[in-house]
Amino acid sequence: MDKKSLPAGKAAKWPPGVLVTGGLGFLGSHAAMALVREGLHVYLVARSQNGMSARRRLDLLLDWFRLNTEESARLHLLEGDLDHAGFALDANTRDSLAKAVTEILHCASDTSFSERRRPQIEKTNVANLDRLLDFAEAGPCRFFHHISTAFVAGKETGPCPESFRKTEAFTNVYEETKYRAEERLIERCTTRNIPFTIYRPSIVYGHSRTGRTLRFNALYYPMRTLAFFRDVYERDIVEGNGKKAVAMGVTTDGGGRLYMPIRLDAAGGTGLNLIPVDYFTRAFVVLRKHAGDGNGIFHIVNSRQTEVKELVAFANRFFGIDGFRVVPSEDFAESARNGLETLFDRCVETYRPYMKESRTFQDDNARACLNRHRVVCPDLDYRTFSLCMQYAVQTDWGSKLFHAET
Amino acid sequence: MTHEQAVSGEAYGTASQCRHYAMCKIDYLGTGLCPPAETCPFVSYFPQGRMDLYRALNDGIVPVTQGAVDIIQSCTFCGRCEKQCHFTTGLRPMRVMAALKQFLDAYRKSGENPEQPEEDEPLRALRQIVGSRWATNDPALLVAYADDPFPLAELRMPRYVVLPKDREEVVQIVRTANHFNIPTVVRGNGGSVFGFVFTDGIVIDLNRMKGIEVDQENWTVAVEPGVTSFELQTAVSSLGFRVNTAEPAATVCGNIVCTGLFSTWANVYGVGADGIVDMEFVNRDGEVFQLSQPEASNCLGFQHAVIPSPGICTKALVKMHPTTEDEEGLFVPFSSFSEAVAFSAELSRRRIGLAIGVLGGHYLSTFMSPSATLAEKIKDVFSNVLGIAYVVFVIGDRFAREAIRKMTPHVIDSRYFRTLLLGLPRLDDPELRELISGLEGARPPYEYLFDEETLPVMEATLNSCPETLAEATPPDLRDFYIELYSQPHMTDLVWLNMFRIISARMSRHKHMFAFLVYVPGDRVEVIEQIIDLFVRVADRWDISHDYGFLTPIDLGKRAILEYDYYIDHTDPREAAKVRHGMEELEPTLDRMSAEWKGVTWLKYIFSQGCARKEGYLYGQKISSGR
Repeated sequence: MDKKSLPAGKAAKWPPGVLVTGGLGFLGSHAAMALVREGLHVYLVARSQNGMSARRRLDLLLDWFRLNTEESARLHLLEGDLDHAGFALDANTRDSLAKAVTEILHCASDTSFSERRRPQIEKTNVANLDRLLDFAEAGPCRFFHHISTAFVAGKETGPCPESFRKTEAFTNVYEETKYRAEERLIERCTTRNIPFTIYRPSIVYGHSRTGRTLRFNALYYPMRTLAFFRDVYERDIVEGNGKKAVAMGVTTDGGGRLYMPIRLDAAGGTGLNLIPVDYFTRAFVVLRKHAGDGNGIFHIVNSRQTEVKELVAFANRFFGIDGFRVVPSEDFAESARNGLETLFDRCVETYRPYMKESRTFQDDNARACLNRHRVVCPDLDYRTFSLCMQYAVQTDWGSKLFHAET
Repeated sequence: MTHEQAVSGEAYGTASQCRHYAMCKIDYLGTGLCPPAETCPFVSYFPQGRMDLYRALNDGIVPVTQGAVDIIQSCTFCGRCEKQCHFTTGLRPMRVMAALKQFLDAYRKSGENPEQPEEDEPLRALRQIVGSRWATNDPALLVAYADDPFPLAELRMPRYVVLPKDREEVVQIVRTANHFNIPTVVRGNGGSVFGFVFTDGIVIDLNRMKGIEVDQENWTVAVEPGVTSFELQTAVSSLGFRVNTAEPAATVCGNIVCTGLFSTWANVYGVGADGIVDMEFVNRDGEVFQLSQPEASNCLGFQHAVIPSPGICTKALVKMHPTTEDEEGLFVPFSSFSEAVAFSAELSRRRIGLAIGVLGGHYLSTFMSPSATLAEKIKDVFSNVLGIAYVVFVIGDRFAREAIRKMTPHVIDSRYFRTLLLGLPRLDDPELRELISGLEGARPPYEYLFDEETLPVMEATLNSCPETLAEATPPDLRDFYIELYSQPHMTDLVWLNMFRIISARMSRHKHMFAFLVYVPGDRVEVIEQIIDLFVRVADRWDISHDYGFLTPIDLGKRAILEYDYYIDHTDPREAAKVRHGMEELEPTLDRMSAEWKGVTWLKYIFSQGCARKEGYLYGQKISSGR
């Protein structure tokens, strides 16, 4: 359903509902679909992307999420753009929306870590929030839900509390802008008496039982890189003369396993905090309903960090590789990186701080609510990992996302 | 539509797209030339001329004459034109050659007889000078000299075409033309494609004058006006020298006179009079003079006006420059134009490097790609995936390259260039693109990928070899391309930049209308304003366009800028767009020239290519008053 089936014109009355930004994105779409399944009307403000209209993007997602007709009917698409004043909506639409929206769920976010994209990231993560808060303040919005990240803690070490803590040093522009967004949100919502909840998920991957996901960054990118180079050298061995593989120390055991000598500087640290998207979604739904009257901050995290060497073992097993291993930094002083290690290291450079993680995340606030409703974060075991990687490979790391299952 | 009509339509389309760069007149791929054209070098006998003939016969511009029959019959279907033309333009001229044969077969079946133009008095006089074989009024031969893709000129059929073999014949031809009051133009290879070499009178084609005399002791070489840049460079390079030449199929003498020789080598070898020791001309009265003669007119002085050439150049004595065995090429990538320009100017000022040029993604991808389709994809990869918006291209000896590496760590050296070139189709691999796009560091992606450490991995990733590059070519030409790219010089930046065989690819997707402007090399804001002008006008008239190149001159104080418009020259609407664009550009460029020192449009240098560059680069004079 989209705006076409909503009443039009000045003073048109729309059903009360939740405005979701980023509703066609990874976390936003999961949250939006969950709200629709809860019986709520959901308004999505979205734009075309990469030559595909917002309508088309939503249709693909409705298929992917397998929403039924009744559920879909509660999902209303408004083609607009958060980058622009008034979301680039016409006055009547904006007016009708403002009157209908009772809650705002802000998921729209630029999750890039790249400093060279700073202006765009700041615009999306900080400036657009201001625009959204302007909208919230002007209407009957009763609640503001903000999807942040556990990593607003920045370069702190040790336990990170479920509260806003002044921080000045960040690992990257993403952490920094999400921190600034929280700061801004708290300031404005407090001033205007708009209750808010901040949800801080850690690193989100695919569904714990099906492996399905819409995004293939974070956990997926290093795996994808590994698989890529495995394929490069396999091709060299099978289709070429294998000389390039030999030159890099890559060999095959003849039984389908490839030895690729890649050392990963990731020893030490507390491990990665990883949660499946289904846990994020269930946690969000429960916390939204039951977490109190507002101004709460919740870490949606795993109670157990996953050690990098465990993920490396999973990767070796799934991709049929030997030689990919975690070593301490001192190892490279004794033996310099080979070209493959150098390139792999550069590919995962932005993730290295997370591989040597020293932060842990307190989640007492979230746990208190989630335990009552028996919402527990499943462990990332090999079975779950392989399901996620299978889905990634099956969808060609997302390029065939909406074709692979048909 | 019948099959014959479809074939004919395809052939006509191919013939119409000939760019007239005359690459089929030089043996730049080692295939050999069109066999009949080697013995009868009228343009008409070369593949370019045959394409023109096919179009003219179909359009009814020329009748079927004995000349046409001879041209068509002489084709042996050897296929050399196919390779030469496809390498540069992507066109397949064999279809046209086959269509010509079909045309002739159909004509013969019709029972008609080919026309035989009558010899008139001027033609008789011309034939008495050059021999009956080398002067003609046969329309089938004339039509190849009647137009080119320049969109602002109409077809002009000459009355005669004559091919002299030496200076004396040129003198007599000029005097004869004057006697009969018939205008003349002189033609090298017509590769300027500016509509200059057309006339209603006599076209003097200098292609038989192929003399080259090398003076190794003095580092000079004398060339006759039929010698092309490629031929001259081939002759001197085997002796350890190079000449500052431009487009490979352009005749050296014609190029000098028309615009002066400029290229990326201008950084070290200069432009204009810098490379000339002496030149010999036949003037409009049929008199011979050399520039070195004190009484000769002052061709070294520059006038900021459109003036005729001093005469027909019948010999040029140009400088040769010694090469060293340690020369190699490299690229320094940049994300911004101003940074690239500043770096190139710095190199020039510090006398680091020989050839220097700032190239954009369009030039780089087009030069490297054996097909237009791949070029478009690779341009996107360079610009939007790797973050390479511009590169500073340098040819230098090992000392220069060491100095450059100290100035910047990010260099695509000759080995890396070879890896990229031979693995080019794989650079567009979707998986690799995604991987590179996922590089989230603070630096542009190219800084992560292009260095000595990662080179072996990239070689494996791209599977760099002639077979991989040939994947981007048509299956029936693949073996040819594999063999071609197996030759070391085809991936050698020094050779490629000396012989310039890939520069003509710039017109592969559409005919290129090049704007060349000398600019103040140390004022990037002026350069950007000039580029902005070209962009605005092109966008206003919906003309395809892109940045070309910039080369520093005079230690970076000046530079030459090329900006290119691209049009389908067979579409009158596109020509109209260029016409409108020129109406805007001309006065604005003139105003810029008046406002900013060092801005001179090449339009005012036409026919003054022998002039001292200081005249048009600096435009300053000593006042004659006390």
